Amino acid sequence: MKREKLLNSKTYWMTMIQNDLFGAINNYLKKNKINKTQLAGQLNVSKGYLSQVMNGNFDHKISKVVDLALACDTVPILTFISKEDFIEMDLKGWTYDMVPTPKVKSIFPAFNTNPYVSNLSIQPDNSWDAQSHFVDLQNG
Amino acid sequence: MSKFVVKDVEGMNGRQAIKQLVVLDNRTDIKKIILADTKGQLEIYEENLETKYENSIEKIYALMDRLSNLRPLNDHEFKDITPRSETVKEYEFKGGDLRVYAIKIPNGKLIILGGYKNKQKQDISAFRALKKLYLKSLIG
Repeated sequence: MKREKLLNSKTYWMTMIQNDLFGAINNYLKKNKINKTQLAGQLNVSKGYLSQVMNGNFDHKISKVVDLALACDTVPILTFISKEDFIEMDLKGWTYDMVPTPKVKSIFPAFNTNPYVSNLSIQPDNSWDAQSHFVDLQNG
Repeated sequence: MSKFVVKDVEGMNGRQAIKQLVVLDNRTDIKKIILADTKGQLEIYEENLETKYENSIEKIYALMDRLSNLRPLNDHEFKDITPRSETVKEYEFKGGDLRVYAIKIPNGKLIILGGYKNKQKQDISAFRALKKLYLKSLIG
């Protein structure tokens, strides 16, 4: 299957979200040394429901995803980036990893203009011209 | 006895290799093989699927992509099915009613056979027979 076709499929992105949610729940279970039944009790849901979620059989409300994420001591960060840009960079072997970014402006221009930072909900101030600031710094 | 070569699974670009077995006729001269023109087990399986399985095969590709990128996978859709006596690990990918069987190879997985939910038993037997032949061919 061509990668472009795969990245354009709904199933691909559903699988990513479902398995990321599985990863968050599984990490929480391991970290807190509890089992599914105990977590289901904490969340006030049935064990069957939790198993369904963990088996990738999950297509419920956004509010439930948020509930589950918070209950597992995680925050769900959902970002929307250009499909065209994503596929172009993916084919070049790049990936979009989340990195923490300070809210204040950085004196390092590359940091402020890094396209892999701009997809975060915490974004650098776009009104600040990093390039000209860099030139100013160069000129003293 | 058949001859075997391996080739990459198209659409994967992660850190862990996802390859597929290519089964050749015993008389084939391996040196003259052009891999791009020779169909692997996954390609043959995918080509012969009915259109109703489109989402299911996309799911399997999505799971392989996650595996390739070392991201968590739920153990319902990607299972270790290795019998106790076996030394080479065996895995099953599950996407809807489809199943794809693989073995562990250095730095990755090798797809051996594709099958269906309602033929699991026969498919696993065929998969293990093919696995045995392939491993035997490596010893010479």
